[in-house]
Amino acid sequence: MKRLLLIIAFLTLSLEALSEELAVIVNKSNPIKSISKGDLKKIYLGKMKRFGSGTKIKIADYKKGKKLRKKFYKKIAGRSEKDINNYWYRLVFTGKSVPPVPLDGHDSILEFVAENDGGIGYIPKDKVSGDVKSVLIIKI
Amino acid sequence: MDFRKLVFITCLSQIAAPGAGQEIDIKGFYSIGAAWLESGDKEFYYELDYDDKVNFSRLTKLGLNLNSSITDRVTFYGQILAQQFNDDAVLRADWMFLTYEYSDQINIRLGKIKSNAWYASDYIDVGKAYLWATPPEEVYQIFPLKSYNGASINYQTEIGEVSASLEIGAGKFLLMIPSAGTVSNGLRAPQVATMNLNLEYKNYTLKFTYFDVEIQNLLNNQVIANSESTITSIAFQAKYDRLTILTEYAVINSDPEKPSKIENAQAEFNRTLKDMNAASENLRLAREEEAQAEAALSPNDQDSVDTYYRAVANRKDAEETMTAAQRDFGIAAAGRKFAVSKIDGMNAAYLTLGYRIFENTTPYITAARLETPDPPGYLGDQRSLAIGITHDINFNLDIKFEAKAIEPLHGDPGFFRPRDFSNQDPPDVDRAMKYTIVLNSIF
Repeated sequence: MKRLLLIIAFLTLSLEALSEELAVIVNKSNPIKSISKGDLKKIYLGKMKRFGSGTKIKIADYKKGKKLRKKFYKKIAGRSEKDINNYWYRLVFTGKSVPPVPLDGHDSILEFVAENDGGIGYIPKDKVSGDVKSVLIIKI
Repeated sequence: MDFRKLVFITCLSQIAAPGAGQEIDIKGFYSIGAAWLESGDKEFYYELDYDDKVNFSRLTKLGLNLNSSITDRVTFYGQILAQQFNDDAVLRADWMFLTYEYSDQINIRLGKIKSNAWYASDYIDVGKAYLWATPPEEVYQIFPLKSYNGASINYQTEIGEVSASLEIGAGKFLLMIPSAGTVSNGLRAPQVATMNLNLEYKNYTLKFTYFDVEIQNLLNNQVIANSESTITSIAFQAKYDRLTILTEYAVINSDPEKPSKIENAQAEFNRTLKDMNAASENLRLAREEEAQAEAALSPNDQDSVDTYYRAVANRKDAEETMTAAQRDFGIAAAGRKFAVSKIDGMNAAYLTLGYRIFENTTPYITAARLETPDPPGYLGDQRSLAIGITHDINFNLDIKFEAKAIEPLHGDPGFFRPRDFSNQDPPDVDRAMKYTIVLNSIF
């Protein structure tokens, strides 16, 4: 029985170790220190358009089909990537919102957020540089 | 210059002006689609666009979507749509407005605003955004108000886990259907008021819309019918893992006390009938002359050759005039019929079930019906059952195929009308199949 418990504990820890950690990053000039998961969801669904300071939010995202993007939306919104794509098509093609800026990879997102006062993005935690500010860590 | 074109060019020049310092974000979509009908060779479906030949009309379209921040709180949004209609492509500003963001919860729009009457009506041209090959016309084509010029205020909030949004709008609307002949018809709505409530909870969406519209049907710019109508619709969508359920019900109520101006419709009917009879007589005479000229034709007599070719040209002109006169008469006759028809109580509904198999393929089934009051006007009772399949080729491209069995009911025309414009008999269709294939892309 002890052995079984040890195996279960080991497997649980291993799975934990396999899960990735994402850092939600904003521009260094942004006064916010943290962001809630609820607000993050609102931002990435186009429902929150300004930070508390009044700065207009500019969303950076990975291009469609990237694994991180799929996992991110599943985690924060509970929706598949196809659903998210359709959701944004409807907002964009009815003039209700401006879509996230699709970027190639971590570096592009870092650069976008570092260059835009209202920039927000998500990248693997170990890719965060001093040019941006991490305001939330989420496991996916 | 057309006012809308002027507004469009002004907006473009403003946002594109050197020194404006604003970026224009352009996105777009296109659909290449074809439909054909099996209903015998007599009838057309759906405003003359579909018949027994493969037809790219309506389903082939290109949209360009622009947005640009003008100030920190004011954004310009616009969408231009080019769509194939019979042999012509029609280019129009689909919608075009300025949004003022008062806060995250409240914004105000001003300009040409896309009508939001049904669940999918405001993105009905964006084929990639929904499951169907074509949205069920029983609901989505019963009322032609696609947009209105005016203003709307939009409010959105979160109540616990429920996302709620409310849109209240008002404006006016004018739609003139282009005509090659001497008769044009159209629709004017000098007063439009609309309310739209959208509630989302997890994977469930409930949408309720209400329109109050004063409608004037026009024939050659004369009012032939007045009505004060309300359009109410309620839609519900649920998603359970691979299963999608979508249903919608819409009803039009109209003030039956509003008097039709049948006399205007009758005057146009009489005039076009007279013109058609005259054209018919001219054609008869031209055919007679051609026959006489042909009989007198001698290869060695240049005068007889010239006379013959003149007679052929006259006959062809007379045939074109006759076709145009028949078309004009058809429009006038349809207008007269519409002037005495009723729309009060017209209602429509559909239920769609889709189930995703594999990763990118979703077969679906849609049952739909339309009920109209008697006497039927432009549309009549019908029901349909469609089976379709959507396959995502990639994130930006899909292909859809649909086979739809359509059955007009109670002797009504449904969405059918005779191929011959001047034929006012009810269409003779018991059942028809419509096939649609469409490729949709977002870019």
